[in-house]
Amino acid sequence: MAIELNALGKEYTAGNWVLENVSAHINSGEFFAIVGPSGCGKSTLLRMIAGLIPISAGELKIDDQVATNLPPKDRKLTMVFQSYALFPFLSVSDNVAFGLKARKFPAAEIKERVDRAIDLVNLNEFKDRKPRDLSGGQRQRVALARAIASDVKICLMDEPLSNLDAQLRIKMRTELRNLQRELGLTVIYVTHDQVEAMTMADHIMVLHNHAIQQIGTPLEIYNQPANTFVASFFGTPRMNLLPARVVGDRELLLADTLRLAVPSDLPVADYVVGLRPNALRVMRASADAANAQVKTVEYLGSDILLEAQMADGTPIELMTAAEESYQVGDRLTVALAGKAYVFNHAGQAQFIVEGGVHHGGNDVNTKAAVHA
Amino acid sequence: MIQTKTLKPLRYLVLILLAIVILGPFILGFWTSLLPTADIAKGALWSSHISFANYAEAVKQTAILRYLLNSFVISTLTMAAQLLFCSLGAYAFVFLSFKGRDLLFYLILATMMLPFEAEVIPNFATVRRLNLLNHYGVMVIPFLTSAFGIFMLRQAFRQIPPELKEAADVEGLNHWQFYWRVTLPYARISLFTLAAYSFLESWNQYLWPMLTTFSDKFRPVQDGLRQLQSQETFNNWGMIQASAVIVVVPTLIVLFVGQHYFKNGLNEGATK
Repeated sequence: MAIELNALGKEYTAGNWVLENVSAHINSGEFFAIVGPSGCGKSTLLRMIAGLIPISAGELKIDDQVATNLPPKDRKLTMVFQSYALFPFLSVSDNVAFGLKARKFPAAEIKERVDRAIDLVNLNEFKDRKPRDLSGGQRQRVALARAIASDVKICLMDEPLSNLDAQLRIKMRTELRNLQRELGLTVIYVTHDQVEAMTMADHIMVLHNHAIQQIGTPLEIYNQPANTFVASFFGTPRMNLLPARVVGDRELLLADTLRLAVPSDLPVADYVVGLRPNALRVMRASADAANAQVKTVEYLGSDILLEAQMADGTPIELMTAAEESYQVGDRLTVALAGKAYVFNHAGQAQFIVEGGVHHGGNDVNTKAAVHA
Repeated sequence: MIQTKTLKPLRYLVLILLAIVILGPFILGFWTSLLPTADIAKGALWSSHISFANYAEAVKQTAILRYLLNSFVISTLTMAAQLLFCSLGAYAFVFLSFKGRDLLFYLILATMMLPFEAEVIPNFATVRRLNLLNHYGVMVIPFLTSAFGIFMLRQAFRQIPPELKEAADVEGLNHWQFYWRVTLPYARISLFTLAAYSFLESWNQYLWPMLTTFSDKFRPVQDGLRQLQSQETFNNWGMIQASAVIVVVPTLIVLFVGQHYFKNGLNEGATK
């Protein structure tokens, strides 16, 4: 049950494209996440795949068959909604059986499938309850059970976990992923939460500004972001994006403070250099040696997140070990100690400078912790 | 907090007073239906002959049972028709998109501003042409649907989360199936309300049946009651009062049964 999106587009009014040129190939049995900030058109894209919103341009193929204009029921997929969309007047088992009954399955098979689906999501003792007698997490499971009870192998999910509290969300992430693997489902999962996408997906599509920014595995997205949007959207805390300009031979000056050696000659232009907080080394400094000053201090448990200001006024986020203690107003020396992502002025990735190269020349090994 | 504590008995006092004002006539009416007419004529509120004799007399001497049957048939038919047609109309206004949809809805809404009395003459001319006078049809057909019913159910259907329609679309439900299996059960509280409302409305009709029915065979209760009064030179008030009580009883049943369903929160849990 592979899905192919071929230059899909959507315009509500002529010439006003909400989505443009969206192409992707989703393999059978894959967990495919569509991520983007609110309003980027990710839910619209999902509904276009489901057939709930007509496709304005391009071609959709499901299982090698053109499905661009098929009605939703003929696309052989199920959908889980953010708001669950349960029928309040039906019991849990009737909710799960709803689609099967609509598709006129034989009664014995309906019962068998419903029982199995309810069993899979651990709702056995709640079979006869109405949705109003269930907690948020249980309702969410009913919605899942409804999707997996059907025999179709494609499941579209529209932010299914975003109404749950943080603890439950993390638990359901694992459950959802396990269920998907166990049943061999092809899942297209829409979320605005980059952490959800990173932890669950086989491939991620990043949507922004009506278009695809990047498609790749979570590691590719994190380690080789295609542009500044993707770079700053993935990873917590966010990547610092510092303005840079070429100074001298093979050297960039970041925020008028930090020097970054680059491997080859660069055309003279404005650049943006991305530095994750853990790719920067922080030292306390005396007033004359300092190049940054602490503005806020956030304790994260094992680390401390510092928001600081570079000498030229550029804000920057830094990570340091929790053992050290910083006060607002402390002066710091910030040095490069990890990967630096160089983007051109339009935000497109140019190259990556590995390992902390800074003008002092003393290489520093960095911990390669991925904060997903 | 102190304020609410002192206010509570006060509130109940007001409620009790209002209840007495509203229920007083009913109780008085029921009480007089148990008194002999001779005592009622004297203005007495107490008698040594309290009995249900007036009821037996009403049933024996008048066509009250026939009136009840007529009204029951008319009200049930009207209620069923209004439930069906108003819900279908409301469904179209919520779930189908067609040109001029909103305009059409406002047009229907505007008819609510027309008092029924203003429609009596054209309606009368129409039903006479259709040869419907003095027939059940004359009291049902003009009331097959109602602007109020469509309006009320449209508001109710609009409360249905759009995700439910999408979920139904994914499962392949067509409009009829969605109407029957999702819309109606979801809006059942409003449907019960409309059912009770249209039944009572029809039950309490007076002007229209008075103009269009001429025989006890089709006359509904309210006009039947009037009939009891004018048929005889001497008004048997005890019997009339007993008939009135008989007529009110079905109304009370509808309200009590209906009240059971008018609970809130039945649709909780559809969406977060």
